[in-house]
Amino acid sequence: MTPPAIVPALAGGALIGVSASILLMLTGRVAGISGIVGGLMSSERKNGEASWRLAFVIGLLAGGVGLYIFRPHSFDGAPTVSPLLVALAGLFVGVGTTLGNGCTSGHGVCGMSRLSKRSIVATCVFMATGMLVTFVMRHVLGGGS
Amino acid sequence: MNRIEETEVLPLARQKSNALVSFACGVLFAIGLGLAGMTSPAKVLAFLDVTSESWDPSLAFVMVAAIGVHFLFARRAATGAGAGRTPMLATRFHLPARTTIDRSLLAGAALFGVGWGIAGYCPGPGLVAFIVTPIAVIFVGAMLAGMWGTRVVRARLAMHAENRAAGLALEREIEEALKLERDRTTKSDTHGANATGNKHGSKKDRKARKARKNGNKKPVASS
Repeated sequence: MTPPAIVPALAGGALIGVSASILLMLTGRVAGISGIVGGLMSSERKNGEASWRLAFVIGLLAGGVGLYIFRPHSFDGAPTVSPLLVALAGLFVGVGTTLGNGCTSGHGVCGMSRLSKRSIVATCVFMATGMLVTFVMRHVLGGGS
Repeated sequence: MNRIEETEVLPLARQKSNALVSFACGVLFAIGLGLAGMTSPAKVLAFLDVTSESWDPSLAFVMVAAIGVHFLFARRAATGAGAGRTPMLATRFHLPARTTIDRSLLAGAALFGVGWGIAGYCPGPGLVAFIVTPIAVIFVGAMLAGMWGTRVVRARLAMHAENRAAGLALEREIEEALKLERDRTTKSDTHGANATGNKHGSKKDRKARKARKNGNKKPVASS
């Protein structure tokens, strides 16, 4: 854990916090990615609910392209597991964030900032299972990599 | 099920300005994730791999910094919402109202963590990598399918529960009406001749009816 590793982490985290704060103070919305995307699929689509959600997602995609152009190594270290496992992971993330009403951003950043009990519990739970699965994948099944 | 709170539809100009702000926030969020290292699954897994000698705790500082910045604004919004203040471009703060820790929250968070630990992507970084990393397309596709499927199943279960409740209520109503009808017919059978002004029937009436019921298995048909 050298300072060069901490500085970009702090800077990136601060940017995430700024983004979530601007969204909340101007539009009154919580910057939870799974909630923003999931809301596009619900019946609340009418009443002008879709436009800001879609705009945020397009912003994420555009930001990704920008990152790829100016800082391509941001995307280094793509998953090494089989595509089938990646699909399974995606499915788990989709089902889990819908049942649990949030992900790293919604619970971990926004909810924790509000000191929401639900978010604090959820963050502890997904951190714990994430660490457990990583341990099993790497040290029980995988043996390295 | 009707959403009274959503009656306030923003005027189109406001919707446009909100969308513009959202887009900018999306870009900023993506750059933040990229700078922080969250878009590198290898780095995420190195962070989650706490027992390893090469454990990389740097991503913990992402959350620390993000919360550090957002904390003040989140509190302002929460207290402001209670005091009736509104965000600059909308009519109210949309803050989650639920406070109970239920099974759905725990199971969902656990399942999400499992998925996160397998691939190293959570929803935000998955979407940021969507266009530029081929494998992220698979991840995001499966994630959207999971979100959509869960919503469909949940909506259907809710509908079934509603139908069942409505069916039960109807059944109870019919049964009650039938019982009332039965009571009336047996009453008029036994006391049709010497009908008194007593509408509800005296103790003697009820006793007589009971005795009749016990003595005769099919009281209505036999009479």
